[in-house]
Amino acid sequence: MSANKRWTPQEEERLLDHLADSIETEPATVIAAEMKEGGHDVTEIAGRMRAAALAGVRQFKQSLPLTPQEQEVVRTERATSRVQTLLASLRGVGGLLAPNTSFAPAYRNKQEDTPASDEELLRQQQEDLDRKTK
Amino acid sequence: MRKDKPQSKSEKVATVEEISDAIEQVSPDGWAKVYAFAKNRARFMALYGGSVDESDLVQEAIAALLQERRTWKPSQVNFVGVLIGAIRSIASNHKAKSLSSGYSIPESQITTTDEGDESEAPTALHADPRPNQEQTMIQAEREADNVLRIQKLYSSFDRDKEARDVMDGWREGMSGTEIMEVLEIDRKGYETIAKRIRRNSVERWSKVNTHVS
Repeated sequence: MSANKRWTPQEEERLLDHLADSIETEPATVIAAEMKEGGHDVTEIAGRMRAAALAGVRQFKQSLPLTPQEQEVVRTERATSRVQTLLASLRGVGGLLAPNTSFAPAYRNKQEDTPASDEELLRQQQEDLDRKTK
Repeated sequence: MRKDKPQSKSEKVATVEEISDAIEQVSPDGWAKVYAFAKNRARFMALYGGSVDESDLVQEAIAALLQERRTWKPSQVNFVGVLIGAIRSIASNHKAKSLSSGYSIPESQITTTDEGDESEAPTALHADPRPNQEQTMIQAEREADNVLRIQKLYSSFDRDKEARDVMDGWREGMSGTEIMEVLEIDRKGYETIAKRIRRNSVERWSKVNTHVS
């Protein structure tokens, strides 16, 4: 009838639908036997399908809301993480707040407010030293 | 035909544990059937912009079974049947979504089909109505592969006029009853020919990671 005519997607869909119905209604042993006749490794295929199915279970489990116990674990982990982040940031700020351990520059730059009595005492001691050297 | 969605209130909802146990109990032959069906539906979805393989469909079907909290009565419906029903539903929803979002196949002569399941899986794989350049190239390549695959299947029946006639009937959208009337064969004869075509397609198309066989 249409031997030389190129199959259209619509025609392909019809064919696929009929084949799907045929696969669905046939016992699994028959389909497996046909695959084996075609040289296909049914054991390998079964392994892949089983793995995909188990992946579907995992996918579902991951989408589930957490149990109260799991929520507590997550809360604890989140709180721990926040505290650690806070401590880490404080350690960074701490450098700015900690006392400067290098005193020499500060001493050199210090503008001393020396009392007048001390200045007089220092002046007298300097005069004594000058006299002794003469 | 669909037996995967029991509606009785007395039927219980399948739990994660039950589904996990059922997965472990499926025989290699059972998985082979699921594989053949999923591969067929992945090709169907490719006609509507889908880019999933059989493994993706099985994973989505399991997740959908659990997420939709479908009822399942193990004593009446085996797990392979439930899984195949879920895969069929995902594929049908994909087609509906694709068409409603503006995707159209090159031959816009789409007939409505009665899939019997209007439920929408939250994990339904949606086609992008505006594919990017790479997706367009992949889609074009896939369509070319699919057409070539169909052509090869059809050509393989060069010496089997009955099979060609039935394929021609399918191609033109005829029902099984109409084909039986036109070809003047009974149901048993029709089903025998249909199985011949299916067997050929399963043998040819079940190769792993092969575009065209």
